[in-house]
Amino acid sequence: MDEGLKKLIDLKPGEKGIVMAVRGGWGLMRRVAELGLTPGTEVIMIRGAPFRGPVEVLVRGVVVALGRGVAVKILVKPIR
Amino acid sequence: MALAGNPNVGKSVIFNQLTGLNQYVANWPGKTVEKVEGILYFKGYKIRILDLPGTYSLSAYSIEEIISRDYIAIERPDVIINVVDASALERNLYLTIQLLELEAPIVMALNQVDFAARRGIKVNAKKLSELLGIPVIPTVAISGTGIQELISKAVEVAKKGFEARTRIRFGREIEERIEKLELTVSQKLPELSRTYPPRWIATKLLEKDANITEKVKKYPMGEEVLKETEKLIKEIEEIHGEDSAIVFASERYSIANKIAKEVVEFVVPPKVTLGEKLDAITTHKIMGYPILALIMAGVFTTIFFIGDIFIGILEEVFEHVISITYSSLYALSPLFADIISNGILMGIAAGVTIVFPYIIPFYVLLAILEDSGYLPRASFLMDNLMHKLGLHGKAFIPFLLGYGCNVPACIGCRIMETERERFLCGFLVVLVPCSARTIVILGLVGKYVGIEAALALYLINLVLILLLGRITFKVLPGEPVGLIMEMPAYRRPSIKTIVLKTWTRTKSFTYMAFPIIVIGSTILEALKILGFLQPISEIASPLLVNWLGLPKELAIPLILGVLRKELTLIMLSELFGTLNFAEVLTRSQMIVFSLVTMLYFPCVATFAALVHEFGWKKALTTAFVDILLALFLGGLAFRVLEVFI
Repeated sequence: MDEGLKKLIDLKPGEKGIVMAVRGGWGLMRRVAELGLTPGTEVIMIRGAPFRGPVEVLVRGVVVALGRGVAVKILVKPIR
Repeated sequence: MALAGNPNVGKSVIFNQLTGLNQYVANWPGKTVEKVEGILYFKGYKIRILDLPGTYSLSAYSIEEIISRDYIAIERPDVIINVVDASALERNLYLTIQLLELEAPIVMALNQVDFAARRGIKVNAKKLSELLGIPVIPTVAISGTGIQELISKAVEVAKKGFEARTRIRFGREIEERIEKLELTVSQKLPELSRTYPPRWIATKLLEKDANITEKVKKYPMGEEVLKETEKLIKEIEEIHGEDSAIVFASERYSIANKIAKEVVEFVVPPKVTLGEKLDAITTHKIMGYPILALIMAGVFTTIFFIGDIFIGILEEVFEHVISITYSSLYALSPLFADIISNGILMGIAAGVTIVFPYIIPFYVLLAILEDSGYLPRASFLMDNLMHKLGLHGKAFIPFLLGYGCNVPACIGCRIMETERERFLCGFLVVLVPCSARTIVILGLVGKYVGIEAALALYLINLVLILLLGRITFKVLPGEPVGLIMEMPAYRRPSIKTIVLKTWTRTKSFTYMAFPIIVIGSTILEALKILGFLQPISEIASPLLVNWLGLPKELAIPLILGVLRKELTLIMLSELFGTLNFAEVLTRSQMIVFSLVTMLYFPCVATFAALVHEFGWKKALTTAFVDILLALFLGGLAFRVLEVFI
């Protein structure tokens, strides 16, 4: 992927990233945005569940669980 | 007065503080969303309070959101108490901003300030109030701190009405376009502008709100407005390079972020709290699962343990009451005695012996799990498995409920976001063996064939649900939704909330299930007296004997089993006059009988719940599929078992 973008799901626990885009349908984009994951928002990966399950991320001071199918569609720019 | 706020902010705790037991639950007309109302008596005022569904936003994404905003816009409550979680202010302000956009009179309850303080978060309530132009009262709902002040402030605001002290202002390029469209809207759609604020209509149109766009279309001038909207949306999207809906969400969040930055102070660097440690363990990749299994096992052992004690006592009591009534009425008229005692009283007994022993302990434990914040963790862990059924993690909760009783499980399907997900979940959840079916499986197969066979039945059931889930997932139209869920922090559950939750749930369960159980029981008794049951079992006998390999007498217990599945076992003993089933049934017959009982027509109360939640058509389809499935698999099992046993 260009410009060092990563899928949200590929962030390691404790790693931070900035939401750049959501590559999903309009409904998904909107739902994700309403929970605070708008472009430019900082997210911190907390942990992933086993067996290719969902992930927990910290966004705007709130812990949010995202299904794997959702987390692969969110593109982030990792920061340190 | 209405309460609005995000889920998990203590909104219902505040509601309970305000109304106590003066509350009642109904459904919003035509919707499967709970409408919780209550009455508060305060200084000579009698105040009606409505607890709006917890939402993160007021977009048209979910039914709850549309209900909330239409209530606020159309019913115009005198004041809205916006309950906000002080420890997650930014996210909560997103909703506050939208409430302000709706031009509603608001008082903010800045809740859980104690919890926020423990996490090192301090919110300047005075400054927040100034920035938003609304009163802000810090509260701790569980202990009742600040509630009195909140009420007086709310009453004060209700008397004054909405004062536009601060307006939510977006970026200039957006603001200009909203104002332009607002003018058009108020000129061309005067009627709609009386229902909703015209500025709000303009905003919603620009963010492509489906519900409002639909409404505008109905007006003769609507097309023109929409044409202008389209042009303005295009301009916004060109400037920002994003979808306009996302632009508005970003704008609101950036306002929320600015306000939060000004009023939130991190006093000490946040320490790792006990809750966070618990969170780390309970959602741990490996550790999480045994903990989940342990908790679930604990829940069900407790329920069955408590249930068993009470069911014994209650059944004895009812047996007494019924036999006394029967003998005293028999002198008057035998027919009458049959209808009253075996019909009506038996129905009531059936209801009571299910509700009290199993449902109440179940609701108590559920409320504890819910209130502490464990359920979202369980959903998180189960997300992957639930995806195999075509659902996501949240569906774990109705499935869990289903093992207790299918009725609350059907209602529990409401937590799913879309109609499609709800029905898929409801369709599958009625196949989960509830406590009544567990009694049959354990009492017959477990006792006489062996516990391995009983467990095998459960396994078959799981596989079946899995397969059916896959098929239905493919057949049902619409797009699947992924898991997007907030993980609230762990909290100590409050006894008051648990008691109230259990009480309201038991009440609504009783209202819904009881009449049906009693009516069903009476009708069946009448059929029996009129001699209709015998012919029915004759008709069914070829199916039973030839296809399922069961004695034809079993038709009656199977038919009557729709009332309560565990009745089939009781009637079986009455029918054969023995409690030792090994004398009358072969092992394979027991397995077939239990399998059929497990799968066929959901009991009457569950069917009523299905109708209630999904309508007649879907409920009948579900019942039909279940009956076919039971017959098909029963026949199959008979043939397979013949070979092996």
